[in-house]
Amino acid sequence: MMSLAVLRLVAVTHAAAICLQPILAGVYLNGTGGAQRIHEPVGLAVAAVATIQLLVATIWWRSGGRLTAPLVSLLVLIGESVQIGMGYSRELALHLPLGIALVGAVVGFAVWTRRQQAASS
Amino acid sequence: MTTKVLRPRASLWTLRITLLLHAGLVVAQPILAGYFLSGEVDAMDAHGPIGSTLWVISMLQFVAALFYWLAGGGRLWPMLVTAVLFVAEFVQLTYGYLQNFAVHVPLGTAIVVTVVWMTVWSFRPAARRGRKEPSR
Repeated sequence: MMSLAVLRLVAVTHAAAICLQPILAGVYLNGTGGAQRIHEPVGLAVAAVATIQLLVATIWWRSGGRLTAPLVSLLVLIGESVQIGMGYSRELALHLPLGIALVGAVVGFAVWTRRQQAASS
Repeated sequence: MTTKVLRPRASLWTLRITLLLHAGLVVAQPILAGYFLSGEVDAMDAHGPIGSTLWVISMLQFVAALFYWLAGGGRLWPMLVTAVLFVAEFVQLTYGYLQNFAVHVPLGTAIVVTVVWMTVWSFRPAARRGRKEPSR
């Protein structure tokens, strides 16, 4: 089905983008201030992709897919919103562990979509 | 008649307990690092020693995964992934002390995700099946 193929593409893009974030954060902590100027827009872009993912996941669910997809996408979007807020307010005690949880969830979701079967219609 | 298939039980529980211990410690690391970066310097007194111990946990986990594979009839890959984790945690420890965060932060993320994913997997039905059984 078309919507599952799109969901897989969005999920993989989402996963690739979010994997940049710990690298950029590490480069920044090494003393390269420029990395933080990339970390910020990438973070905002990741949340934008999460919104698109929620939309596509909902379309897939309504056309015979699974409810898990929009539910996880919604939780990830909420998590990323909190993450952005914690990043701007320098609440690193929450920003670091939440960031790792989000990387795990987004990568895990991308793998999960690869294992879903397109509903026969 | 159906022949009795070898399924991991005791070795799986050993692996699960090791993984739970491993996951508990590894999840504490980014929290402690975050507190440290927020200005709580004491957090490093826990982050350092835990990090220096994690590769020992990986060694124990390797033995558990070896038994899971050989004695329990489980799959081989948990042992291989544990071997990679062992090396990764050693590299992580080195880069932590070198204060090279461009490696330490992303590698740490990968380690946490891998250990937590393995722990979740170990409690799922797939982990209970022997490797001779069809994987469905």
